[in-house]
Amino acid sequence: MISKKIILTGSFGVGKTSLFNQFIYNRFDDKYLTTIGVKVNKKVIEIDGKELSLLIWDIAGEVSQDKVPNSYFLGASGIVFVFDLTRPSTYKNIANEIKYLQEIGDPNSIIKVVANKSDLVDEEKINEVAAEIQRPWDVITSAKTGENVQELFRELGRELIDAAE
Amino acid sequence: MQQNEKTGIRHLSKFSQFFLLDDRAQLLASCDSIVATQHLPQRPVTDWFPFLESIFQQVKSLQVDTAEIHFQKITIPHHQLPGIYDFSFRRIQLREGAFLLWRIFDYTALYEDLQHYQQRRNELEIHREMLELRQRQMRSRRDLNDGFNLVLENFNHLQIAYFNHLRRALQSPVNMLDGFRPEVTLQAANATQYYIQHLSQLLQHLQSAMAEWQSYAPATALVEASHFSPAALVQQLGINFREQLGQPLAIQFASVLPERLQGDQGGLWQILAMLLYSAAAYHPDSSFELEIRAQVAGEVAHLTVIVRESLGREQSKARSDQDDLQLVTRLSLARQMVEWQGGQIRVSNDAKQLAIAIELNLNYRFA
Repeated sequence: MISKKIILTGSFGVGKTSLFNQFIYNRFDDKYLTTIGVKVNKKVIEIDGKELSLLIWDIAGEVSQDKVPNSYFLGASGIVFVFDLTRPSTYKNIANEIKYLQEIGDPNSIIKVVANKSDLVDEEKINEVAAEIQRPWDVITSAKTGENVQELFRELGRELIDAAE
Repeated sequence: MQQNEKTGIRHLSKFSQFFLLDDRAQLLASCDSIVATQHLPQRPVTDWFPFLESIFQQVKSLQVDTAEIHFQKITIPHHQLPGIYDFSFRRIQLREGAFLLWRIFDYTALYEDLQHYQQRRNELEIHREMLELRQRQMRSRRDLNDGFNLVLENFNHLQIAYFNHLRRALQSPVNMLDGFRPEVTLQAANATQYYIQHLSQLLQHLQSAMAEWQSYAPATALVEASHFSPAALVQQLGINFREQLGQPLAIQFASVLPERLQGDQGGLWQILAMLLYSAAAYHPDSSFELEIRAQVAGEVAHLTVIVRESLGREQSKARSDQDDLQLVTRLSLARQMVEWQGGQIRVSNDAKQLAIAIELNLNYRFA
């Protein structure tokens, strides 16, 4: 079985732990509970008949990615950068954040940008953010409704398998 | 401080535990101070510990002389390690060979306090961001409203100016036509009277249109302040009256009349012209008089102008309902214009066959 380490990162309060819980346990809690350090767990999924163990690191949110200990990124095959569609502070500096992640992460790691909390915004707001943001997102999710959460990790898993082959 | 008998590794009981691993992640020894390893299945540690699974390839590459790797504040949800721990990895050299030393340190109590503080800090920060966002939205909305109001105000000014311009452009010719019409009608031949009737209808349309335009231009905006001499204004009016109608206009000035006033000079001219030319149509033998006087109150001059016609309507003159309607319309227009300027108009006697006096009261500031 293939094992891949995936990092969930981004500013605090953007919903990384909620995505983590939704993906692994299929559950959501409205109450905000900050993550301290890192939470680690895994989920085995099957993609095209192949079993893939996704080892998810849910990292405590930091305003700037350079505050995250570099050791967390050791051996990470995938990095999921999450931001909150309702809070400009979580995406206003996204280009620099992604550049930093590319520099400190494995050169072959796959980076996904996720716009979370789609359940809290309408289409007009989404278009407004799309016009404003420096780097387009890869997927819009809602950890609350589960929208695109499984799809995000499955797509990332598929790309990781393709890259491994 | 305790020392493991087998490996000689020292550790703080309860707060830390060591695990000695080979390169296949097989557990060789532990002190069992936090996790009871004797109950774990005889499989690689990575199988029951996802954190280690995710990092083992990197840990395995450690050499005896390379620095220890530290990971702080690790939580593994729903695991037999329920707290928050720090992990460290290093390769050590023992008699039997080089092995991986994994140590865990239980700082749960400390990190829970830190988590509590971090929770509060993050909540406050998110709250502050949301407040800022809301304030920015409110500012944007207010700016938008201000902008909209400015556009609306400019539009109103433009509208008022436009309709005022139309009204002013047409007022004098309409007054003149209106004044001449009855006299011309009497002297004209039948054929010409047909055209004059049409002209009268056209005049009525114009007067109606002007009344409508006035409704688009609020009273306050009609006042286009300019400096003028009330005496000079009525003298010029008298000259025009004589030139256009061939009749003299007697003008009575009060002994004390302000030299210069500030206000809607054009509007005053139009009102007086409208009243005089209308009065001129009453009787061919009428004489006309205009009296002007002022009463000063602080910075304001209360101007009173009285237009007098001596005979009233000619008894023998056949007058139609249309003529009466026109008289009412003209007086109504004059009244409206006076009221727009904040003044009053009073007709002291408008009964048929009697002399008419129309009194205007308007306020002006001193120039």
